[in-house]
Amino acid sequence: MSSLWPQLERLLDQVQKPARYIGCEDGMIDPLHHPDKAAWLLIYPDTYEVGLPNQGLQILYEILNERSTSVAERSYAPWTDLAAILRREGLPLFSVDTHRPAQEFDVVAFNLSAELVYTNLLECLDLASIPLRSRDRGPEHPLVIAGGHCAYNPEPLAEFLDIVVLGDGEEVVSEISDVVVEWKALSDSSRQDLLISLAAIEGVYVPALYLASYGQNGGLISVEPVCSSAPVEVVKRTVADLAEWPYPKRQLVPLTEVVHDRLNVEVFRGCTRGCRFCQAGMITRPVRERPAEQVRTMVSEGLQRTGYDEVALTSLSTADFSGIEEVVAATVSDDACGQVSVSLPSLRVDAFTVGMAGEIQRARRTGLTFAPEAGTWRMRQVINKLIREEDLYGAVESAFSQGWRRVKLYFLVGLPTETDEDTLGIVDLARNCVEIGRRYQKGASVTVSVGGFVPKPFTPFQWFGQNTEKELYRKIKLLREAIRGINGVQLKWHDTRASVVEGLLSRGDRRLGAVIEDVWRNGGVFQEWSEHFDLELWEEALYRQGLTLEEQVYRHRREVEVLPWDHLSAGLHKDFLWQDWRDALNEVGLEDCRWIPCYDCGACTGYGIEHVVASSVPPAGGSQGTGQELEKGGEIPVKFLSRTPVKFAGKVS
Amino acid sequence: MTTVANRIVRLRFSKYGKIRFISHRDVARIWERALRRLGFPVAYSNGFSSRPKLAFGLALPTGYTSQCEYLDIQLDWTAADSVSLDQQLLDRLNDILPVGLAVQCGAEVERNSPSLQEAVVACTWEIMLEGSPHTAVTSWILGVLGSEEIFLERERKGKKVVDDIRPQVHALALFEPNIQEEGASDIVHLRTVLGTRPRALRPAELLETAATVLPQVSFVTHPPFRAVSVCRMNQWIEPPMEEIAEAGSCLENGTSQEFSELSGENPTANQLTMMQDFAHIERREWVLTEPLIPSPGFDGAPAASAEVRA
Repeated sequence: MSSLWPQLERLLDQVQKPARYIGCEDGMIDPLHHPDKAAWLLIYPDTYEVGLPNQGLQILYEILNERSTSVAERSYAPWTDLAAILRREGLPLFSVDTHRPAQEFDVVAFNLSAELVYTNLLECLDLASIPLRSRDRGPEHPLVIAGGHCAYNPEPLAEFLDIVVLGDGEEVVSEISDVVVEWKALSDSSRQDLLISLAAIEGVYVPALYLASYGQNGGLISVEPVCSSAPVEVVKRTVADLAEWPYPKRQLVPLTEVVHDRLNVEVFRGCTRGCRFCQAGMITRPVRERPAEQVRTMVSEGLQRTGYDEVALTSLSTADFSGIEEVVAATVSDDACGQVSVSLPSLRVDAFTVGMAGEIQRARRTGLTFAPEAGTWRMRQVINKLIREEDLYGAVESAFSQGWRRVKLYFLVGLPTETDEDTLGIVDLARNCVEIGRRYQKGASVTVSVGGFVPKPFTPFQWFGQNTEKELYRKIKLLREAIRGINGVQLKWHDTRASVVEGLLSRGDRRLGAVIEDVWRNGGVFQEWSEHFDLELWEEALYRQGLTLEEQVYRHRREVEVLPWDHLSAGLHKDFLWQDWRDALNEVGLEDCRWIPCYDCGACTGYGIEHVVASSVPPAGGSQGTGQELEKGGEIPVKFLSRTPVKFAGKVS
Repeated sequence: MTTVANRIVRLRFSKYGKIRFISHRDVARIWERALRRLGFPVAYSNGFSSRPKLAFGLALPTGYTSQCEYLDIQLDWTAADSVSLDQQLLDRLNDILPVGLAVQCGAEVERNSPSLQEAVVACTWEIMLEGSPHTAVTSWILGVLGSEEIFLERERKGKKVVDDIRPQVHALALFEPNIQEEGASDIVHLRTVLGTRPRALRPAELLETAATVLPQVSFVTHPPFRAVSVCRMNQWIEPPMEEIAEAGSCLENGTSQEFSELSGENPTANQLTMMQDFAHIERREWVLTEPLIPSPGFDGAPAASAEVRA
């Protein structure tokens, strides 16, 4: 293998942010390549700043490099300026670790965290001189893999991917690597043989071994295996015990600023709060906590090794972690780490109190974000986010009374059964919050941040027809007009046109492959970046493929209908999801199953695993599914015993 | 309220290799983390956004290398006594710093001594040009040195400003380092001393003057000068006031022909005590009229190829 660095070095002073392409991070592993090893290139198909902090990619990077039979390097989507230069100079996509050409690796593995990066995946393949379609690749080409949350419906990318991995990657990555190593040792084995061997691994989906059939009206009839070694249903992988996987052990410390630029320690995986719009909460069940002792060690060693002064305890709802109190207390009082800020992302509004605000206000006073998600109690029952208005007001009052001047509230619009009354309920909440704020702060302000709801696979809302772009925009306008004139309330919203494309890709079938390729060929890369996003490219591509947004995005799905991901499984029973969808429409909430008898959603039972939760009692302060009386929703849930600042950068839930 | 100024430690370090593509701001962040890992008693600012009190000199443009970057660290007075600037400490620091950033030496400077930004008046640069013939570069150098004034348009805080940059070109000459590029006949090495007052002149800006200084004809024949590598070799400070008075001159009126190097030879552990008083730093005087080594192919150049504008 050869390094392209000498050629690249002469070009990098022509691009913006050359630091994206040099590697050199603390924690970078010098790969010991060998022809007998499987060489992996892990690619995050977005910019370096967005991709580098991705924990999933870093975990696999370490695991693969620890093994004697594999090595791993990393790459990120080159920005458009470098991509143009690479094409002009005839240079390929490269790894940032040793600047090797992508096509010299055995495996090219993509992390799919968001739908809008799909065209970047094609861009990366093309820059790597790898044929776009699986069927056009030969033995000389790398195996193209994808994993991550979007992989739960990989159908739009089915033609481009050799294999797709569902669920936690810690174990399966080694199994895949072993098969690749064995296959490399055989001189007479075809690429098809490799794919068939890989299909036998649990959690591995080989799209080429399945045939999608469509009815006369264009609807999907079935996706079935055409090969006996491919399972009828591919089920996700789940790591039973997080304690066995204390990764990343050596988190990469980038030399240039990236998002989430801090130490990140995952305290638990999975969430059973059961918010019906939340795909992450559904597909990562059950809850698996990391032992508090291990979290403390990872925090302490991580801070000392990296020199970071901030640690985030990550999960889908960190206040629910049984050991949160002791971990935070231990972190802020650990002299070996110096002055440390602790940030608790995904903290629920019902868990934020005066006590907590009192501690964190000593830290850097950045914005506070709470996510009530919907404006009325009725609406919050539909989405099963049972936060009472009082919980929100209590949290906001805590914040303002402790000196915060600005609070951000996050909402979704376009939710099932939503009426204009529900939408306008957002305005009432915001007005009340700013009034509470004025009691404490003259210049109190509330920023309302609104996103358009996009239904996702493997959620109870997977059957829901997404609001049209026009309807979403009408609701935004409704909010804009109602909020105009209210002193201290600002409105921000996510581009409703981007929500349309997210919806198109999140629930699409294989016919969207041609649409993605069309958009990419017409220059549609970095679609998650507003300066590059272009809805017209997508509309024109759909038109050329004879598809419509009405059919693909805005249409309600029927119970009997075959969904493009029905041959894949996140563990959840489809009838559980359907029942939850009916409950949603009936405005019936569902409790968190951690502390009540199992209602058999399928996530545990099918795997012979269960929740790993250290505490036998639910955390105090929650008003949802915690068994607590709602009246006690304002109690202090987490006591912070710190003398040094605790940073709260929390987006709730 | 009187506040006692913190003790200040000044470090000199180099920046080379892949790291040259890291911005000045990112280098500062790397230092913050490195000093935390070292457990170095850095003073922190007060307030909600408490920051370590580190001060860097003139920003090195991203992509340039340097043999002489400086960093002033204010020591936390409660723990400053425990600081010993020995080789062991510098070695530990170099273990922590990424490859490409290396500390050469360190010394304590006087509290309240001028900041690096205030102190530095000029920098020496070595520039490697590619694709420009010697003849073009030679006539450009002669053109620059022979000009009374050279106007250059540059952006300043978003506005376009035209400055006469000639007074800031203290020296400019062809320079042949010991390393001979094999088969690279279109490589030209330059050495220049560029002033930093009132606003630092960057090597890239100096090269832009080719468009105005060179006769239009030759500029059409040759593409603009393209630097493939630029290295900052030295940063210079004003001589101490009493010495200026003795010499009866100062840099501002353009008659002084010397700068004192910010810190000269790599000091040994023994020398560090001596360096505590900045005035006592052993200065290597660098007379700019001393000819820089002219290139063998440099015909028609004046004997003293570098000059200070009178």
